[in-house]
This record gives sequence, structure tokens and C-alpha cells, in this order.
Amino acid sequence: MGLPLQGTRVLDLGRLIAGPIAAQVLGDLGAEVIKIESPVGEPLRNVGGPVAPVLESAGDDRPYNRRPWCNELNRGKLDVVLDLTQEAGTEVFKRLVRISDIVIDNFSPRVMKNFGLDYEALKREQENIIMISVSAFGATGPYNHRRGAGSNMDAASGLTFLSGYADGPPIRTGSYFCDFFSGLHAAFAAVTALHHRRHTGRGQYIDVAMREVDTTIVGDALIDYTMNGRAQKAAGNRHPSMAPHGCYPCTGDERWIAIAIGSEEEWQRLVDVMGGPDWAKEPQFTTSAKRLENQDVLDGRLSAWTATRDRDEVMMSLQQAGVAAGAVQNVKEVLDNPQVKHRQFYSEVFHPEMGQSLVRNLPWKMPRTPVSLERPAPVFAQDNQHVFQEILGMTPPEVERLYEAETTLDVPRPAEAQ
Amino acid sequence: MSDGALANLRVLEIAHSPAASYCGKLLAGCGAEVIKVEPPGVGDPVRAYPPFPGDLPHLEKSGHFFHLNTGKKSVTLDLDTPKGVTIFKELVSRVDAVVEDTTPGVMEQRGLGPDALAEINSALVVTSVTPFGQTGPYAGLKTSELVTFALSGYMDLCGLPDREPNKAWGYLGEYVGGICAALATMSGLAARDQTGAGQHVDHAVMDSMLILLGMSPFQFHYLGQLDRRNGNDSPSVDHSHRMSTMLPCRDGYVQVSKGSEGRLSRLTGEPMLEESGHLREEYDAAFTPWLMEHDKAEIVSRAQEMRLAFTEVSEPAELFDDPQHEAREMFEEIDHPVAGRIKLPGAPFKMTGTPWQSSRAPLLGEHNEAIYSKELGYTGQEIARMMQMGVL
Repeated sequence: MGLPLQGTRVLDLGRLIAGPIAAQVLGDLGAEVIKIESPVGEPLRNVGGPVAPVLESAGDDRPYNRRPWCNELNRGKLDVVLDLTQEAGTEVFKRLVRISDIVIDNFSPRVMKNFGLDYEALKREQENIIMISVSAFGATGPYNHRRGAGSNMDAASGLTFLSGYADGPPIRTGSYFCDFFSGLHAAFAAVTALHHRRHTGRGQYIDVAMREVDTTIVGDALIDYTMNGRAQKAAGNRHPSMAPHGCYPCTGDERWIAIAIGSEEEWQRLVDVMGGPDWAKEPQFTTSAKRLENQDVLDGRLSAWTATRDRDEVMMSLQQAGVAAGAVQNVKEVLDNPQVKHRQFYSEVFHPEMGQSLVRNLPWKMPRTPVSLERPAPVFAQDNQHVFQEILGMTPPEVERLYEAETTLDVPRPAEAQ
Repeated sequence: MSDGALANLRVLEIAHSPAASYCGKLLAGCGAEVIKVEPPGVGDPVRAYPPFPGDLPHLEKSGHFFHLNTGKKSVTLDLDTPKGVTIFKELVSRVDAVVEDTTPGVMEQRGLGPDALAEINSALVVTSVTPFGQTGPYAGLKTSELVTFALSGYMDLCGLPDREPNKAWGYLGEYVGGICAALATMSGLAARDQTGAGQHVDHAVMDSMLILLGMSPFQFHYLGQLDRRNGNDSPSVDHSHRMSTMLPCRDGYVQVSKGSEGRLSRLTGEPMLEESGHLREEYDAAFTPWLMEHDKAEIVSRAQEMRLAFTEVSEPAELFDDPQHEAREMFEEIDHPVAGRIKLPGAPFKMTGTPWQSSRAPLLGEHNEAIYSKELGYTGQEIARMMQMGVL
């Protein structure tokens, strides 16, 4: 059986996170993804975390090829460099559009228009092209040119405000939540539009506003406001109707256990596992409503019990008793986790300049359709010749002219020069 | 048939959790006919999730249920009865996909496991949405949003460094699981369109959350650097590239970014450290007094004019008169026969060729007659008898 998106070609103008991860998912499903970089290169080649050590056999030191983050988000893609501020660059891009199915970008909405590559222009090259633009606030409306990365959009959607501790200021979600969440929605919109095109022959333009994608997560808080006029605040680890429900310290440094009591029965099981201490029988803890009311005291008592115990043993004994409890794993532990290993969520593939590189799988298993995870992240401009000559059928002199005019490059231009 | 992108698809949804329900909502929003199969009497447990008008719990008034079930139909069916199983199989022969989130093994016990369903409909895609997947050492664990959040490692990246790890709002992990389950279902259907054969798709919410770890696992793999939660800064241990952080202002908080080319100085009218992502304390100390003299809307509007990526830290109430949300019609008002007029978030993305479908969430068993009588051909008497027996 072939891959789900075999025979689909995607042009990835994405940069940073949201666009690149959307295109990457399509590539993992079997699409051929061509990442198009500007002459200075994908921003994550230059910023965004440290550089991985160079493999000795790699020869020259090209740190821009070894940013872990850039490479994790672009693994599996072909890589071509085009200066879209030049007409020669947009001409090559348009030739690619004619033989492609999907174009993904996550520029500010005016950028594609300035390149002369908005949806109407792409449609002139190919009537049934699917174009997906991911932007901060969307392609239309008074804020359409406002800028913002994922952490900005978590803030602007209400998610940050609702995500702090119950008694403190707003705190953003870890990492760059909205970038990933909106990128996954863009990928879903892409496969949905492909489905529609398979059955009707029609392409379309898809406008993904990162803030609007995030709005779905805070839907329950927004509806509480429209229904009851209630201004929800952050609840941290707490649950609106159940207690105890939190994160408690165990022996050792940074060892925490999350415990979520979901019913009266589960509370009794927890009390049993603790050996039926007297405090648990106090009137202030006898009903769910009372535990909720007195949860500061309750959390203190429970913390005193967990604090002298081993995290993994607490998890095991509570799980055996049928209580939802789990270790707060750090990133290292996640990589070593038996379930994560069982699901083969991470694997490795050889990268010419980094050696064995880490690969993130898709979060689902499709036994009859393999995923495509064999290609490492591309080095800068890796597929220029392949794309220009093999895919587009350009002659060597034509390609030579692109290099002469610096419409394309093999080595990124220093960012300061732009 | 709708004019949505997935108008030719029919999907059965068995949902007990936001993840499977959000998956179904996305498919329904894109035009698929999504039929929720709910247990008679109580229905999907999400019907018991707040908010409720006046905080009075009611099967047909859950705001969260309304949000997660736009565009769907509902039938009741007890899958723990032989007749219920028979009817489910009749439905399976007429659909493209089943999305279900029962505990691993439960559908098999009912005789409705993926293999049994494939015998009825070889082109069927079955997406199983579970916290940890169908097999493996965690497959039988008892969990919740909080506990999956903890085990996924994402919780260790959320919160202040000197406090306990902190779960983000609501059901963030479930929603991430939901979008991935929807992608998984569409992948299965794309493969089916190529080969004619369906398959069982084994999705895990925890795996979906691992995507959120971003750079951290990779940084650890190559460099041995372990990221931890870091408040409103990136969890990365390398602070030299702080791009953005949250700071207080006169009427709340703003999400600010580092500046360049003198933009921050022009914003405040004072000499500012521009590339001060490198020097967080100095940056915050220099910037905060000016921010405390201004309101967030003004700060953001002026900063954005200078092409600085500043946004407000918005509170829920502020989002309803937001001019951008208004211009793009982010919120929809829908009439509900029991709860009255309700206002909900609309499409999470805009497909300009195939409009988002967002009719109100169904009442429990609202489509029993349409499906069981008109479609499967059961008589009114048979339906009444099955209702009496608790099958429907």
C-alpha cells in the first residue's frame, strides 16, 4: 500500500514553526515537500537555540546546517533557495506552482502580495491550486498586518491569561504552543482541501489565523462569559469540581507526582493507599464539596505524604489502586520512557553533518500505510540542482543565470546584509 | 449534503472525552455528516461539563458540549446490548469512518473491534483515540488531562522555575489530541481513496502532546541540555535568544518582543537596549516603568505601528468587542431549543471555497428517527420497543 499523500507535491514557504510543521506532516504522509528558502535562509538556521556538534567527516563547518530546531521542523523536505524579491525568483516559483498541489506560507499577509504571489496570481498558474496561509490575526480585518509569534497569539487569544497558577499572574504555556497547534490545523485543512479536490477537481484558498485556532481551546471559558457573565481566571492544576487535583512534591530534586481524583470512590482509594490517616477522616475532607472548599489545607496534607515518598512508587501504588496519577516527566525521561519507546515515537536517521539525528514520528500508527521518515533534514540549498534541472527541466545555462543574479545561492547570505 | 469540503463523508463518533469530540467537530465543520452514538439516558459524559446557564447542570445545556459538538447529529444506542451491536454494525456498513475513544479492548469485547468492523466494511477507517495508544506498558493506565499532561513532559515546561509544574488552561492536551486524531482520520481516508482499503488508526493523545515539546528533546539529544519551565520566557536553557516575554502594564499585561533598529527607543522616547534579549534583567527594568504608565491597547497599537510584535494578554471578556474578531465574525450565535440563544467560537480556520458548517450541537438522540427509521427502515413500533428496552 502506498503512502496516503503519495503523488502530492507541496511548496513550503513556511518559516519558523507553524508553516514548516504543517508541511512536514504532509511530507511524513508521503507528499513531496519542497522547502523554499530565501537567500539568508530559514530564520531558525541563524537563531533559535544552540548548534549541534559537527560530525568529523562533514568537512567544512556550516553551523547553519546543524540547528536542532531548524532540522527537526524541516526533516524530510527537499531544499531549494529562491530570492522571491527578484522577478527571476518568482518566475521559477510560478513554474513550480504549475506542477504542485499545495502552497503553504506563514508570512504576514502582505508579503505574498508584494511578491506578486497571492492566491489570484497562483491560480493563474494553476486553476486548482490549494493555498494555505497561516498568519497571526488572519488575512483580513483591521489587525491583519499585526505581527506576532506563537507566544503572542497565545496571549491575544486569552490562553495565556487563563494559564497561570490559580493565585498568580498569567503564564504562557511551555514552548510555542500556538505555533504547533495552528500548524497542525493548517495540515488538517490541507488534507481536507485535498480530499475535496480529489472529489470535485477544485482547489481553494485557506486563511488560518493563529489567534482563531487558539480561541477554540478557551471556548469553554468564553461561553461561560456569554452564558453567565463570569470572567474566568487561571485555575492552574485545579479542577472546577474535584479535589485533590494537583501536582505534589516527592523525594529528590524536581520530582513531582500529578494526582487527579475524579470521584468519591477514587478519593477513598487514595485514602486507602495512604494507609487511612486520621486527617483524611476530618469533617473538612469528607465530601467532594468540602475537599474543594478546603483544598489549600488538603493539598498541604497530601504534599506532606508524597514528600517522603518516591515519585515512581507513588505512581505505581496509586495506579494499582485505580487512581489517575502520573509522574511529571522531564524531557530526558520522556525520551527514555517505556511507552514512548514502545510506540517508537522517536527514531534516528543519519544526517551528513550531524550524524545520527533524532526524528519525531506522527502521533498515530497506521499499520497498513507506512510513514515516510527516512530523509534527514536538508542542508541549505541541498536540492537546487535536482529541483531546477530534474523537476523543472531547466538547462545548465538557465541555472547558471540564477546563480549569477543571486536568485539562488549555495551558501546563505549573511543576515545583516539584508 | 453540505457544501463543506468533506460533504461526501459519513462518520460515526463514540466520544467520552474532548479529544474524540473535537476530532468529530473538525470533520463536521468541514462538512462531513458526523453521527454521535451516545449511551441512552446520560449521553456523552461531556454533557456534564460546565459551564451551564446559572450553573445548573443539565444534559442539554452544557456550554462545553455545545462548543465541541457543532454540526453533528446524535443517536442513542446501548453498545453493551446484542441489539445495539447489531444496529451499530448496520450503521458501519453505511459510513466511511468510525472515531472512537473507548478503553483499549472494550470495542473488541463488544464484537465491534477493528477486525470485526472491517469484515462488514473493508473500506472503513477506524480511528481509536486513547491517552497512550492501544498497546504498551501505559495502555491500561488510568489518566486525566492533568495526568497525561504530566507524563507527556509538557507540564515540566509550564510554570515558574521555583514552583510546581503547572497545567495550562482546560483541556489543552485533549484538543491537541483532537486535531491530530482528525488529521489521522483524514490520512486513513486519503490512503483509502488510493487503494480502496480501510485500516485501524491507533492514535495517542500523549504522542500528540510530545509535539509540543518543540526543540527541547532535540536539544537534549544533541547537546545534553535539559530544558525546564521558565515562567514567561522560553523554556530553553539558552537565554541569549529570548525573543519575547510577558510584562505588566497599567491595566494588565502585554506580550512584548525584543526590538531592533531603535524601535523600542522610539516607542518609549527613552534610550532602550534594543537587542536586549541577551540582557533580560536590564531589559525588563528599563521597560517596565514606561509600560506601567500605559494601557495595553495603546502600547500594542503604537508598537505594532513600528512593526514590533507586541500583543495584549487578553482576558476572555475583552475578546467579544475585539474589532478583528468582529470583522472576521469569530463568534456565532446559535438558537438552541433548550438553552436558548448561545454565542460560541466559530471556525478555527477559514476555507474560502468550502464554508465551515456550524449548526448547533444535537439533543441527545435527536436524530434517532431520521437514522433508525428513515435510513435503516425500523418501524415506529420497533423503535418504541427498543427505547423501552433501553437499547435506544
